[in-house]
Amino acid sequence: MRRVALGEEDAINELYARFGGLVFKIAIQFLSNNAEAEDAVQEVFVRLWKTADRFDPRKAKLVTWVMLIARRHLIDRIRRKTVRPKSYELGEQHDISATDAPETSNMLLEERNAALWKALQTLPEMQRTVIERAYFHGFTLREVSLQINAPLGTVKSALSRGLLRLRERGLKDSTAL
Amino acid sequence: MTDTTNNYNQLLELAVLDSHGLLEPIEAELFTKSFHNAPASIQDEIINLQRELAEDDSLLPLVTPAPALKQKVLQAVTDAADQEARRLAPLALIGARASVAQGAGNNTSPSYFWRIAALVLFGISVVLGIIAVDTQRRIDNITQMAMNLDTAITITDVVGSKFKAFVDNPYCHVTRLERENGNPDGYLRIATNELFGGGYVIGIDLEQGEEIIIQGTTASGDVIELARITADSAISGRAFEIDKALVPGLTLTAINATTGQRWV
Repeated sequence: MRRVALGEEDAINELYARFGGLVFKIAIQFLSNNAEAEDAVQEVFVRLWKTADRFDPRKAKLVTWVMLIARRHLIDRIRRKTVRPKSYELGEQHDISATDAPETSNMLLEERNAALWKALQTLPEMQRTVIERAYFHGFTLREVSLQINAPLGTVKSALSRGLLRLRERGLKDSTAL
Repeated sequence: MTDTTNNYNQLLELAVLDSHGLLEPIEAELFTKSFHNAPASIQDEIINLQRELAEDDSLLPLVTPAPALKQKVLQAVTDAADQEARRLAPLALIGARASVAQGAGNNTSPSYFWRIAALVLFGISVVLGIIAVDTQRRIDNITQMAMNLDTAITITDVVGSKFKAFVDNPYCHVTRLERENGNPDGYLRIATNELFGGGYVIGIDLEQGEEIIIQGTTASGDVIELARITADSAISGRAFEIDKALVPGLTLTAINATTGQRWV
């Protein structure tokens, strides 16, 4: 990452060779079309170059850092795209059904993420709701806690447990194939 | 369940949220502090858990990027590097002139620096010793804070209670500003009170040391400076004065005091 921070082309080439595919996959999971995903991948690598000097190998593996930057960027991108009422920022409560479809959803997106949607359906409603809202709609955890009228700590726990269960489910399905 | 077990579980929960980019900047900073204060075995466990989560592609779509994307990525990074180099060129020139000027008048011997360095290191080791005594208590406190407290309360602890008075006030109009150049790092949130005047600005995840000037353009077209904030941590904030008569129709913008980069 030190060489990436210096802008060495070989280092950026190597970084892309190792993680380009993974970053593209996560971008496709979040965004509705290839062009948007490709734009996002370019922005993620620019962001990785800009923040390379902040990478601390004592705190995380390189893949963790790369995916953290990628996921943060994609969530920011969704938040910028989504026009939300000012009242959310002022902390008012809103009733949104837990079964509301994600704004970004369309047939292509659902088809591409079929395995994920299937796994989501196996989760308890609370875990599914917080994952959909925080991870795919781009709401902050505070906003989610206000929307579903649950304490912030409960939302965090449900989200964390849900994400771990999704991973277990994914691993189970992939080994069964 | 003991407090220690609670904190261990909460730290793992935060690790999962952190690896998915779901923590707000202040929470991520608290998690990092908690991580650094945790025993080495727990640190290893967290590092491995986050690695497994990051590498896991079992639920990701089965797609591969077009070969041309690699070239686009390299070009995007090269363009960004060139742009940054042009932006920093005048600063580098100033730095070079300053170091030449400093070098011309510098006749201090190297041994002088070694003595100073030894004294500084001794001072640091004493301070670290004092900090270590208090570390375990801080681990519990910080983890608890990151897991349980509302972000707004946490922010209040950092920037003072005036922040919450503005955010919770129904007469306040809240504006979010981002960097005009599209760099998504950090944002500003500015609250202005339409009924009584006054306002509050809070900067989240700004670059360290970045100084931002908040400006307002009134309905009559006058530009006024409202406040300046300097980023000394993940969150910076301060209250500012503005006449209530000027608030309606006020357009808020900000600029970086050093680079002139705009926030809109």
